[in-house]
Amino acid sequence: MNVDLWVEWKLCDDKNVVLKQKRFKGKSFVANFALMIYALMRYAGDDTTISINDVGAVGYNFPDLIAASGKFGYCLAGAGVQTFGIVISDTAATSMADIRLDAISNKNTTLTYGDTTMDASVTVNSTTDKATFKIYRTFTNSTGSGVDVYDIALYGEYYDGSIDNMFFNLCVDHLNAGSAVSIPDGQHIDVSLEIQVSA
Amino acid sequence: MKGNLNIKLRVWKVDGKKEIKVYDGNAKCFVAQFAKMIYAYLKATSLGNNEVSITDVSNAAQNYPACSSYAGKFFMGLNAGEGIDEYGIVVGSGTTAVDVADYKLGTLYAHGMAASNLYYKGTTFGALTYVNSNTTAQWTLTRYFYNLSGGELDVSEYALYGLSDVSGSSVYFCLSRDVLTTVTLKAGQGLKMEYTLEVSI
Repeated sequence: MNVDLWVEWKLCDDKNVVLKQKRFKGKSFVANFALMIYALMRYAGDDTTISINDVGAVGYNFPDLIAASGKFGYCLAGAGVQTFGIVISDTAATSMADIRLDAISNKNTTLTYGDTTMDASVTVNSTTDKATFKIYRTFTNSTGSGVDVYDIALYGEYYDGSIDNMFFNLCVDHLNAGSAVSIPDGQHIDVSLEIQVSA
Repeated sequence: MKGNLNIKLRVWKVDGKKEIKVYDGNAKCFVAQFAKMIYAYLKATSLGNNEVSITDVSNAAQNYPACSSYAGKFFMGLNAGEGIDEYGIVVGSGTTAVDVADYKLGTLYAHGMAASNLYYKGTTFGALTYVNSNTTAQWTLTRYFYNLSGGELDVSEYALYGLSDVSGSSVYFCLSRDVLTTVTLKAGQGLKMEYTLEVSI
């Protein structure tokens, strides 16, 4: 194994009692994640540019996005921010078989988005030979009626010191193999993504 | 088991114009530094910030990314030129099993033509391509090594060392390490290494 991404979600009521949950190894990373690694490894004084699409399918030259004062995949979106961090969809992606998936399908805008947070550090365990960390977000339904959700994605924010509001999709997965996860009014879903490096 | 981001490794022994494949399989071993770097990028509101402490190849703790200037632009650079043994694909003679906390090779072969040296050519970088009906994005890294030391050399461990600009200094981090069956290079023989990094769905 090398680098895997595990998806976990828990549907909870307003008292935080877990009603349903699921954990599975995602197929999640998309080409933008590869491009991110590629640019970081290649761009040691190399002026070669590669194109990457943002969530609106607008192409950018990736090394140009690398600046000391910039952001490069930042995902810790604050509460209420729906443009990046972990995001969730109202429909299932139909193009999941294409690694060049630019964005999630029909991003949900009616749920209340909590903070996207991360573990305080990377856990390195020489017994299991794994180095891991998790990213978390809670989506709460306060709409007054049920909401069905299907997919989750991680959008990273990029900033090169001049162009603002660039968001790129790094991974996407069905929450429930393409079927809906129904969130009744007053309930919430806790989602986590675990990045796991295994030796 | 196949992961979501994988490294494949192929190794050839080079004897004159002949290239004899001695390994073709999955490399297994991104190590903790790689996870910490990804963590830092996802967390940093500025690449100049100190987000995570990472052990460099000299076993010193470095704050990361802590990139000092736009002109620096060194993050985990692998495209080392000829004669550079500090980063890129590097090889050694250590045989200790890989631990995810490894921060360097067991025993690195230094560049050169003296005893116990290997001659390092440049690490070359292929373009990122999409294959398997757009379900995989991949690229390759290649490097040749030649034994010009006059004696025999055993190569048993392989690594990717990345170059970073941390607070204005060049710092090197071990991103992956693999230990394979030892390949003995007689005087004049060489080694061709090819890593393929791929993200697949």
